[in-house]
Amino acid sequence: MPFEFNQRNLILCEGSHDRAFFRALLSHLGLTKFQTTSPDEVLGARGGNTQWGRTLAAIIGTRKFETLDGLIIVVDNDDNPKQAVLSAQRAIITSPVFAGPPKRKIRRPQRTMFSTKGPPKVAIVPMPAVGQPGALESLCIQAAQTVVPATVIGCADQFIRCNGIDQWTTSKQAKVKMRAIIAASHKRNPEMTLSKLWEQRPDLVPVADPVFADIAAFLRAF
Amino acid sequence: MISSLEIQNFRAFSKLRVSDLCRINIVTGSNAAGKTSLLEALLLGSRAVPIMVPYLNSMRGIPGVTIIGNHAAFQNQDSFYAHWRGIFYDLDLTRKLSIRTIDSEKVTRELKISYSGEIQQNKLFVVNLEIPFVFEQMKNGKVTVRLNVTVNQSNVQAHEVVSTILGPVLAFFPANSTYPETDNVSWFSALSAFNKEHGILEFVQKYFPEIKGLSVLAPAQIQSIWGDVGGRKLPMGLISSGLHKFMTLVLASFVIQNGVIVIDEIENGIHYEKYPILWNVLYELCKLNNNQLFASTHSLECLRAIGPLIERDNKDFCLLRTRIEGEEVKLRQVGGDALGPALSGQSEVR
Repeated sequence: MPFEFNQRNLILCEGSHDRAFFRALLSHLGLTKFQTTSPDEVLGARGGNTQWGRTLAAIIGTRKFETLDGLIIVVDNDDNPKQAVLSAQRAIITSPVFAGPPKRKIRRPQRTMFSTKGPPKVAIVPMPAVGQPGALESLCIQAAQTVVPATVIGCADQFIRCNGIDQWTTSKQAKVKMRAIIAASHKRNPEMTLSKLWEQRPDLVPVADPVFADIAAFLRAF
Repeated sequence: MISSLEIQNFRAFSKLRVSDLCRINIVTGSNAAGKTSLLEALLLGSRAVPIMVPYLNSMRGIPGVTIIGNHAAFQNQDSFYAHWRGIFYDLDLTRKLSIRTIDSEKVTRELKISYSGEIQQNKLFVVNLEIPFVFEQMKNGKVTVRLNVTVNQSNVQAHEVVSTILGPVLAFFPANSTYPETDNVSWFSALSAFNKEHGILEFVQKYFPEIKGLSVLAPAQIQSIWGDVGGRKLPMGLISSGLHKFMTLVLASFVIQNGVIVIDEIENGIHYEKYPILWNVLYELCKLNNNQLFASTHSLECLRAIGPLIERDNKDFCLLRTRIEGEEVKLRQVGGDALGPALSGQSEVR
């Protein structure tokens, strides 16, 4: 299916996992005027944050761009939160002008979790949080710890230590740990990915968990 | 090249202004969203002669008129008014119709059509003659041609003879008509006279390599272009209507210089595998002869085929997207820098 606008606000994530999380969170919050997408959906090509520029250009070229009220770019901080935000900001600066009428330019937010004037208003939301290394999975683990048996969490930690994964970056450690937790908790389909989690086992990472409160509050206020 | 276009009270548009037009302008939009109207505005604004009014309508299949050369004979007086009413926005004759272009040399050309309903007394024949429409060509703000257009007792559209077109030279290819072979023969002959017809053959072979030669033949005293396919000559239209269309577009783009090529529903009759060749050839010829192209399409496949060209030279391309908003037809323009990535991916751009 081609990518097109069906809501007034767009959340642009790096990939299908973040997209699935935001869909679940928006549904929980009852926020209906948002849609989610990612570079793989818009461009048909993988690449996450390396594709921000082309993705934004393609979004501007998509039918009904002029109806867009707001754009949220969700960046994974990984191990360099500053660089992650900078790469999104750079893509915004170099994004094409929509010739219109009315003429529109996507404005660069000066800081994260802050909306520019619109339309479209623009914000950058870093994951797991402003200035912290990691990714969506870092938050998901915290939420999972409140519902998954402690033994599963302990074994996942041990698995990471035994395999020397604790030498990997924070973001990658979180991804491995989250996969281990899902695999251990979902006998029917241990290979289930995060992108299917909120469809098949939403109880494993409850989006109502307080760890997601800041993001939820930002979306409500956007 | 036309750099901006302003339309007032023509067909679907009450008011429309589009600037920063490119060498290749692709027009998209749903049915009844004004794509053809936009292209017609270019044709009417360029030729700017009264015969174009019934001509535009007859291209859309509106009955009640027979056009032979520069003469339009209407079925009755009502048909005449219906045809002329049809070009006004909302069919409202009280509005003043205007089509204005500014080219890259800053030359302004404007066609104005208004309904006067003025009655002139013809003293010689002691009859009252209604002058319904006033037709004005303007260049850089000055009226260069002013005509009264009426219909005579034989239901023939009548006005003084006008030979000047407002310009630029424009070739228009409608969506639903067979392209006239007379133009093809004329264009081909013009090239052949200077031994340049091999250039056409090279382009035609890109599309259909089996064609080994082209010639104008008139076996039944009707001239047409024939293609040599494996030692046997056949009329090009008989070989393939898609090939015939392609050849026509190539001929027009080859012969016309510093002009405008307008193609409504460019994808019609063309196999999807040929879209990249079609775009490549048209773009190459447009650059070669400094022509400008306006082409409408409904086909996403056809649009995607132009993506690689846009990615290479995005400044030469833009998309004009027409859309009905409320009761108005609006137009949004997207530059090649956004269109290229959108087409290379999964976006709905139409």
